[in-house]
Amino acid sequence: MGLLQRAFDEAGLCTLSITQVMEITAVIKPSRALYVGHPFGLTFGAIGDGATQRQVLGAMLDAAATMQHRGIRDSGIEWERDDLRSRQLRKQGR
Amino acid sequence: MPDSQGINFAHIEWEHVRSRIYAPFDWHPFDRLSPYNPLRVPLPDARVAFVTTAGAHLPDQAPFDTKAKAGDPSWRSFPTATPLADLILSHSGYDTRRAAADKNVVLPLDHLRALQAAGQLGSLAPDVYSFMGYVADTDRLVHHEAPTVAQRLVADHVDLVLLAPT
Repeated sequence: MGLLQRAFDEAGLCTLSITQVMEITAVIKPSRALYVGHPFGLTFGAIGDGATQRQVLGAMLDAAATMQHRGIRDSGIEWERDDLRSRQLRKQGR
Repeated sequence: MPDSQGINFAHIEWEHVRSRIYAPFDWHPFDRLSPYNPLRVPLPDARVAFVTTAGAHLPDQAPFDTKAKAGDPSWRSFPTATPLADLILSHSGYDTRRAAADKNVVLPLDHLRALQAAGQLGSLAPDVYSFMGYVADTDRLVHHEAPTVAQRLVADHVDLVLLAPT
């Protein structure tokens, strides 16, 4: 994702990405990213949880409109339903 | 930089890919952040594009190659107006069965379209650009595919590109 964003940034496009893993984004260094602590494959929230999905999308749009500098903004949105994200981060679950 | 749970996933992923999938894999760190191009218009006037690495595609498009050990750097595009039910997810890196039950979890087109209909976004770009997020050999992605999609987005006259991983 970061490599794509870098190409778009270099082409002059205004971009904003989600990152689910800050340390990878810190290596690739795209212009602006919003950290969301959700599991892989559930980037915007749980199945049927339209409210959280809209919250994440809204946070993306707010960051796109208000982040005036490069770097990573922490959305403060974390996954609290179960241990799926923790297991994914340890390669103990998909 | 560990993530919020104190786990260095970049290192875990590096070890996992090298030992089990694609031995030449390595991260290629950049020294500098890429350029920041400000949003030039308010969101209610902005033309917004969405780029996903969820591996989404139409049924009549070739699926992404989920067996390639070096990954698949190719991309698909489809109209932003496409009903989510018409899309297929092909991806080797996450459990697509969850997202298939509600594709808004990775590709929130229903919510984007609702925001545009409510006037909170000016318009949506004609097409979504879709990649598969596992690309261990990045040469073709960096030097050909990503710049090609960038030029298409420029040609689409988009004001903002939203990118979402899986």
